[in-house]
Amino acid sequence: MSKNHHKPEDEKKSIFEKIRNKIEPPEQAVKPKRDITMPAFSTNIGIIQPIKIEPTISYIEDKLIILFIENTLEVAQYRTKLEQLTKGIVTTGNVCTINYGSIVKVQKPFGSIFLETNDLLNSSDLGEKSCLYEALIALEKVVDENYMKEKVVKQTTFETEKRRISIIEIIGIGRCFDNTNTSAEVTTKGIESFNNVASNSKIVTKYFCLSEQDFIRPATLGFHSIGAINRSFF
Amino acid sequence: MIISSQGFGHFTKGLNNQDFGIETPRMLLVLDGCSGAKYSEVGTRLFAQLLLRKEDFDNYEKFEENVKSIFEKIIKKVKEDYPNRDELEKDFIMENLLFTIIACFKTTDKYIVKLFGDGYIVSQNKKGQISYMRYSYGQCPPYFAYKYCSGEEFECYKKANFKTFEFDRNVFPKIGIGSDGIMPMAKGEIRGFDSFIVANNNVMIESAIRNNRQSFFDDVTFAFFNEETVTS
Repeated sequence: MSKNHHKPEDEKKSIFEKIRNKIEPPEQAVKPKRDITMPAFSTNIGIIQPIKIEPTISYIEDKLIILFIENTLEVAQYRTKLEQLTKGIVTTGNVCTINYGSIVKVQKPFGSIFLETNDLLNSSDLGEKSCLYEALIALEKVVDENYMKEKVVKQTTFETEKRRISIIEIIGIGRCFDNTNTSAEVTTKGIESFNNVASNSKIVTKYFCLSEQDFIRPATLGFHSIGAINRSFF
Repeated sequence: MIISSQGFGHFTKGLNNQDFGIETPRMLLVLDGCSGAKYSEVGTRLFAQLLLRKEDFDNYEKFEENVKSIFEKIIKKVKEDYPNRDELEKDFIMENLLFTIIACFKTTDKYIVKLFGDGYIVSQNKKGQISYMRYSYGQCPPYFAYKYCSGEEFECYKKANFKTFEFDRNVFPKIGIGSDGIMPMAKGEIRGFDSFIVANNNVMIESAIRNNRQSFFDDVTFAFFNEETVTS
């Protein structure tokens, strides 16, 4: 008969086994197996909220050309050249005309395809007067009203399409001068208005003088690119 | 500061840079050779060298007289090598001496630009705004050498003079001149170029022209007086 025959089960175990069992009791050593055939459901079943999908926003970048035209008899003599010039420059985008004579007349933007049917000069104000500085103040206002202003053109649940003018081109035509005895305040404000406009790198400024003798005036103001309608060397 | 670079169109056709320029403390000179003339780069360099040898060459009051004197001297020297006037005009004058001339002189209170042909005057106003004034007379610019050509089509040039433009230095602290090849700058196609001019950053100006070579179809020459004048 063995010596261990009557000893309890516990006493039959070695010292090593006793220590191991204390550290890691057998019933906790093996983690219960998860039945992988069953999905893991939460026991907390609440109200499922609908997911809100924000519509994507896309932009159509557009261009606006502002024709800044001196509205005088002198300029009217070059009407045919004026039309040829604008036809060559204005090919796409929207167009807006600012005519300055004794008064400033601002026309709302229209599509470039309608340029041919629009008179570039304001026939009711063709004289000798040229109110340049007041026109520059109006120019700044037109730029502020249009530059980067968004307009929704299409809207569905999933998509919003917006149009905005991100590029503006200002085309000046004339002699770039003021002969209306404008006050110093208006002169200063006009120059400041043009500076505000020209300081934006997305706004292109060009001036077409009647002749190169007038170049200094738009250069003094700060028009970037200056040329002449009349290109005769003699 | 002066920089001249071969146009990409000339590079692809194997033509030399036909522009040339010189710079002194009182004068800038830009010459733009006719692309259709075989040796206009020879004419521009010869003319510039002979001008520098003239006494008081950078005096604006004597400039037109100096130009006329140089053209007459050159034509007189080579005349005997050509059997008749027709061949002299066709084979020498038209192939060597067709180039535009733009000169800018700096005085105490103004800049004076003299121009015979097409090109650009570039100004910086007091607010630091850059303007590119384009002087252009159609497909074929007027050349001073036409004064020495016979033929009805050249009659109008016999009495033509240099155009003169004055810029008050109080209104325009900086003036530069350029050949018509600088059109991409005028169109704003070279990013940051205007700011380099305002900052007198010659290194960046040169770098912008060289790195955007494919934007310049025609030869490019651009010159302006630095705040601190540089001797050529």
